[in-house]
Amino acid sequence: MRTRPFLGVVVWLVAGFLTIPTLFLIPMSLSGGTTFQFPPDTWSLRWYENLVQASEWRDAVFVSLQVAAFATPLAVVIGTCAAFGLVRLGKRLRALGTAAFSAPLIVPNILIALALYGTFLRLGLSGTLLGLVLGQTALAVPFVLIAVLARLQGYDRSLTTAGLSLGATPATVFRTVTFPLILPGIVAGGVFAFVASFDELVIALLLQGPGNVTLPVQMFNAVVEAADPTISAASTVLVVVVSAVVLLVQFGWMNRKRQGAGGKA
Amino acid sequence: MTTTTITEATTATTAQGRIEIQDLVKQYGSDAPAVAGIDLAIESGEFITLLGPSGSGKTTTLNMIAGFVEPTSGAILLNGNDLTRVAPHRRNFGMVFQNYALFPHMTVFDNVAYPLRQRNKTKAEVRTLVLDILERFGLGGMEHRRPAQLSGGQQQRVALARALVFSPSLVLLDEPLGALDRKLRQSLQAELKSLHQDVGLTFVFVTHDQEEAMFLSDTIAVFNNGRIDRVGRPAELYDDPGTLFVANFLGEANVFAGAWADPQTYGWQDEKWRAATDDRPADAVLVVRPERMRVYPASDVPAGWNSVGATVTDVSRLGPVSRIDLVLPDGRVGAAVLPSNEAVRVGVGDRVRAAWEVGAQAFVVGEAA
Repeated sequence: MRTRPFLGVVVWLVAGFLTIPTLFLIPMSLSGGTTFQFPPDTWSLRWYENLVQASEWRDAVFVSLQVAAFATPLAVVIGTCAAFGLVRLGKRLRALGTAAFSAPLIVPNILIALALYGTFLRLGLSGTLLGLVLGQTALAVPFVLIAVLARLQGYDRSLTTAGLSLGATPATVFRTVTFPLILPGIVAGGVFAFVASFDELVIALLLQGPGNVTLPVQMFNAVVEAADPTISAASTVLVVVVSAVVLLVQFGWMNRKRQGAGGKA
Repeated sequence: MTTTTITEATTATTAQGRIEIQDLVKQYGSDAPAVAGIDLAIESGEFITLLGPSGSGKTTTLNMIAGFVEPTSGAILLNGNDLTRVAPHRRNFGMVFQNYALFPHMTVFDNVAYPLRQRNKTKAEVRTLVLDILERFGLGGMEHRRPAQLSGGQQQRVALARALVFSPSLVLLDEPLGALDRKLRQSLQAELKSLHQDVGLTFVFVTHDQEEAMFLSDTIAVFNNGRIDRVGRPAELYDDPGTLFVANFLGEANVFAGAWADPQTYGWQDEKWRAATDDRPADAVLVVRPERMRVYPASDVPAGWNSVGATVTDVSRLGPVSRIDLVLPDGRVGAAVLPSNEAVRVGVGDRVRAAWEVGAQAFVVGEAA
């Protein structure tokens, strides 16, 4: 392919614009002082210590992981099932269904959060972990749905037919043919779902209660109350965890692709 | 549970694959039926081609035999047992698809082993059977490749191997050569034909290519508008097409829609032609194949031949034969294909007689009938 130097420059500029501000967090979190400084006068790991030792921070990290651990598989299952249903519908119904499931991406989060808050208050789910999991699942489903649907639309249905003609039951065909071929879509959807849940603020803020303060909510509260560099440490942790998940999957996947010629993209 | 039934079926029916189709109908919604009541008997070991233009119902029929489309009414029997409500994965039929439908995430070995593993064969059996058939199909040493790393012809062979490795009672082929270029197509046709002779299984082949159908088949069933127009051996259908549709679809024909003047004379425009006493459909249309047509100056038509006045519009040399395009007195086009050494006497614009022996003509039932 022809190399296009101008394109390269633009790509790096955009990438820099998006990531460099985040990178300032890291030195700030390593500051020895009690205020935000860049560059810091002295270096220390005290804010990371605080993050692990102060119970409100430690609990928040744990709550965030817990919520994501429940919301991600839930969103993956619901989104994948929905994609299978939608792909079997006629064109118009499919478009309508996809739009309905994607609503959480389009409707402002604050509206969803308010609606959930009102509903969950009545159901006694407000301030509970379950309420938080349900709210974030709703938000994460479209990420899974879109990724799996794209994969399914590229899936050649005659492969299923072929599997059946060779004597495999419909369940076996799904397990041995359909599922492995759409797995990349499910994994990509799952990663986005995890990330969407792990760093979600608005819903978590409205549904917060004792024992279910997530890391982003704790950060928000910390900023409002008394800002100290623990928040930089927390942000760094958030960025590292999210990037690590995305990169691991991305590279793991690319390696698998290189081994075999792999399926159709 | 499922696998045992399959294994039993495999051993019980390996050699037998007689199919009977009884008054089969497939209707989608309130549209005209895709398949409008067909009857067909396929003998064990036969190579039958379902031939027809797109939308004629041939693929729908194949999919009903395979079990992927449920018939609206009618029955399909395998060796006398009703298959109509049997799920596709329990029919034990091999199928080859137009786009091959090889599993892209599996190696060639795993693709071909797939049907054997569904039948609970041991690891050793699977290995022997798969490597044997790959060797036989000229794919030895390619078992670790993925389908995407193979050429079109090789992929086609893997698809065939996968459909045959489990000794199915029937092999269904849905335009399997449609995606290949002409030369490869021809060589695969020859391979397919000798393969059929080797394995002795019943092959049901779907195509819209009449030359391919003529070359491969023991029997051709010509589909037209959801019905079978005619069933017969290729030569039989070509020489005595029976209907105008078959005459036009299977090769080319000069068509003369006239009427009987008396039991032995067929009249068309101003011409009077002799006919053998036994060709007698009531609303008969006379057809002559271009290669049975000869071209003469008016005075030289051999005695006893039928002929018609025509004007030559083109002479094309195709190698050993030449094609003469004609305009007939009713303004329609016709054609004669003759040995090139005979064609040198003919020039564009010549007024000639296009002539044929009485034995070269056939009477068919017209389109409307």
